[in-house]
Amino acid sequence: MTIQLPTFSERELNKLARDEWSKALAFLHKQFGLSEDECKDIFQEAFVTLHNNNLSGKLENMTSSLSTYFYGICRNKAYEAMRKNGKNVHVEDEVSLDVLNAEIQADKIDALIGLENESNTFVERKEALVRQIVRELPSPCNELLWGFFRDNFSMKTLAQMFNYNSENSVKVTKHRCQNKFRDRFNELKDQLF
Amino acid sequence: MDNINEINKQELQQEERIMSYLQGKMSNEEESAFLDELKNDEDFKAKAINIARLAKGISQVGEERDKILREALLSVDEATIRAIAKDATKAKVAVNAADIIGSESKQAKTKVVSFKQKYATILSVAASLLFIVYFGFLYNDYSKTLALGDQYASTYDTSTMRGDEQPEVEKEVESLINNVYNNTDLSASLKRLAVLWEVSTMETYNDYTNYAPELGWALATGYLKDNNKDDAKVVLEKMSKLYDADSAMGKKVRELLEKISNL
Repeated sequence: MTIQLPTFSERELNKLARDEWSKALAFLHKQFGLSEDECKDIFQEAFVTLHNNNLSGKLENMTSSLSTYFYGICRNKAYEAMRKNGKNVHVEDEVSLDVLNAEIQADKIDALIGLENESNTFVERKEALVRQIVRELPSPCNELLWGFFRDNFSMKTLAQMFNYNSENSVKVTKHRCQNKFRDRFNELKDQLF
Repeated sequence: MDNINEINKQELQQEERIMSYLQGKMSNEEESAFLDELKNDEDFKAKAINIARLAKGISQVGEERDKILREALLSVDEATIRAIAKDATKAKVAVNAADIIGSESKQAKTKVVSFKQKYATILSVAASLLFIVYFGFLYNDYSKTLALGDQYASTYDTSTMRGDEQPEVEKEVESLINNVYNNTDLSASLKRLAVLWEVSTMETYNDYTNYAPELGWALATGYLKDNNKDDAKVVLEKMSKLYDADSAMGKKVRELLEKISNL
């Protein structure tokens, strides 16, 4: 018997799909009141659309993260499904959906980091250290910090996606995660530099 | 989790101001007042730098990850994508009241679990003894695998690369091979190599086609350095189909495959 092992791409996409599904189900269910079966259909169609849009080059100039882009597709598919079911959806509702924060600006980030007045080499070494920590963030910090800083999801959306009781719970957990990151960074920095 | 006490409240307000600055939501006056405050308050400044640093790191790693995922999306067909999406939705995820109610019944089962804990304790002692013996074996295997990776990764010399048509592509390939050789950023380099290896072995001719042997070899030896024999074997087996047993690369591939089998 020959077992066909998944390729690297398939493994990466499997992981992406699994991660996104748990978030999408919570989000679509709570935001739109859709059933699990409806959420499944929307998710599967949205995943295929993501693939096709990538093939046709629509993701070339994407400014958001892939995950945020994917949620945009899910949201549109959810509206399509609701319209098909005869539920009233107004365009204003789509615009006012509290999904995203404003995007973080790269020049502002650099301005704050620049307050340390360090040499470029030192800054680069610290950045490499940060990247290493960020790759290994444990749960729930992994989900929350990535959702907030990379995907720009609002506190409300994060609370829905990760099943928190309220936006305040998300704020407090995120705050603790940022402190954990700071402690880890300082610990490693002291060891390395 | 909801009990935001007074100390936290002040800290959370500071964080909101930092985010407001980073998102460009402040007016010019607010922004200069904010920056002045940072100059005079070391603690607040350290918090702002910490958040900025975290945001930058996540952005950099995120871009890297998205690039890998977009390339992965390009390398599979629609049928595979449908199968992957369908498979993911089979996972059970707790989202509603019914699931929360389900978690209450879990608590009711606690007694049974505690009863079972006695047996678990006895088993865990036995397992620990087994682990000590097994770890000795694993460590031996681990060090041999890494040594094999080191030995064979060094058999490739990047100075022999073509140096022609695609300087940027060649620069990237060379840098990835050097990363494997020097054990630098191994995890990220392996991810990138895995994508490029797939792209290079696609039927359609592309920028990476000519670099397939180098990419495959670096990936396989890199996996060994990462103590990942299984993935190394998958790559080498594919290479053994691509390169004849008479060719230099074909010979090396078969030799390494045999050594892995003998580990």
